[in-house]
Amino acid sequence: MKRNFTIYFLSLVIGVCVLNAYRMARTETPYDKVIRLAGSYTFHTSPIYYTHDHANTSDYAGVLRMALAPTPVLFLDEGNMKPGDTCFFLGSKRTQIPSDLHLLQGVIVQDSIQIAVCTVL
Amino acid sequence: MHSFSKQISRLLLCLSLISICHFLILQFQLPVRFNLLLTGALGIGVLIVFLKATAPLPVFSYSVPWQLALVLLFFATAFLFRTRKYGGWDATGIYHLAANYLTHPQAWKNMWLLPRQHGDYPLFLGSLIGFFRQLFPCIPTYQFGYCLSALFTLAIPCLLFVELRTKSLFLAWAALLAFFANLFYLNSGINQYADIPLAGFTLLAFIALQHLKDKGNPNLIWLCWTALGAMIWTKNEGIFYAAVFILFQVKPLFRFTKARPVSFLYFLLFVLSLILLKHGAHQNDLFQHARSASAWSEALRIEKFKTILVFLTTKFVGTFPIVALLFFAYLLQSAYCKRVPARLFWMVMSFVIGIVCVYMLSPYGLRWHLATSATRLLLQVSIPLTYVLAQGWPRKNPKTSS
Repeated sequence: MKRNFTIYFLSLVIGVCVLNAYRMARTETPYDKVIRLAGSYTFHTSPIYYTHDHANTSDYAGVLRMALAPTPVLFLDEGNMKPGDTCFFLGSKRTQIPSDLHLLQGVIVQDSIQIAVCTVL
Repeated sequence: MHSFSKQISRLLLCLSLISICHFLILQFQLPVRFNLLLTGALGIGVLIVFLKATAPLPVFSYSVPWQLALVLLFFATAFLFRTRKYGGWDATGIYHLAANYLTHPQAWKNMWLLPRQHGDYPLFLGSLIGFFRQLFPCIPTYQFGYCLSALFTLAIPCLLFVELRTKSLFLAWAALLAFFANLFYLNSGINQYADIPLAGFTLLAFIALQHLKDKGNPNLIWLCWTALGAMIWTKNEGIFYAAVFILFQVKPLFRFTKARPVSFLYFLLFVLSLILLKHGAHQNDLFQHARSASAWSEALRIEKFKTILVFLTTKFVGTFPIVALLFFAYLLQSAYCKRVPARLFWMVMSFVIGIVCVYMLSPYGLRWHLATSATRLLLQVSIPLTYVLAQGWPRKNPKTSS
């Protein structure tokens, strides 16, 4: 210990990281559900739509973007939506799904967050 | 310089160089095998770090290393069990996202297509995680983010401890516990915020500078300049901190004739990065807002200044009580001894003045902006501040030092 504290320090850091990897591989968070849902769609040509009105919603959007990168995913504003676009809709309970969006997939509800896959009619 | 500081600082700075090299390899579309060469260089670099710095730890008057090891073990366990899988929003929404792009040599430029880009983060973490993901594609991005965060979060208080223990053992423990026993500090690490690496690099620059001044060893110049470069590459605030650092420390940085070419080279690189910043400044919300005439009339309101000052002081005292205590003790001691605080102290105070100016010019709602970022900025400043305050303390009895 007295001879090389660095070895002890780095061993501890590596130990923490390995144990964390082990724990996290067995933990499924709501984010993982979102990523799983996102993973079942092809996004190479499809823009993604999300709302940014809720703090938690932006968290989900961040994770979703991370999971889909490096696909050139566009996060469209409402005004840029075109009929026929496939999109993800991330919204809180306070946000209504716009009437021109047709719901395709069941909604994941986690606390106040809803995520749904939909198309623009 | 203590062997632990030497080894850890080289390791951290080695990581920042890898990050820069990986980005340059992508930027200049060099073949992927260059990354393998980079890995080899990393391996050799780490080996050199350990072979060159194998000097034994100085013998303490009593078993401090065991106590430090136990404290470290305790906080490493706390760090492990408070994990957030994907980190905070900054991690997932900004640099893990960038890392996923920077993993793919063919598609990384798609990163620039993202409509909502965040200008606060240069690519230190994104590029570094991208590099490691290219080497180990089966490991998810968040694991690398976690490993880097754990390394920095656990290393900073230990660095403070080993550097300050020759000054005063009491101060060394105070500095260690000021951060390890601080929930905000641990949470920032768990959320994988880039403020921790930035604070770490700033601390390294201060440590290198102090040793440069104390021992006059010109070999430490490269360490100091590399830490400044790493600060710039980590977060935008780092550019400001580095500029203030250079401004305050021109003399020691350019004093040694042998090391002067290195200093000038690094300085040129720094100027180049400032030019690049100016080139990209049109995208920065703060710069855009500062150009409007109304921004300045609003910024000079005294009420705004008061609000910022009260908020920062309250947060500083409430979130970092040990550092605040050291700060006021330092001021009292300076007043009692009728001594002007050291230049390093004024340098850190200039960081704070810069932070205040940013809030004065902020285009956002002041309350919201302060609530979302002030504590994290204070964290960046508190770490080098602790080191500086301890340097102002009278040296302990040399018999008990190593």
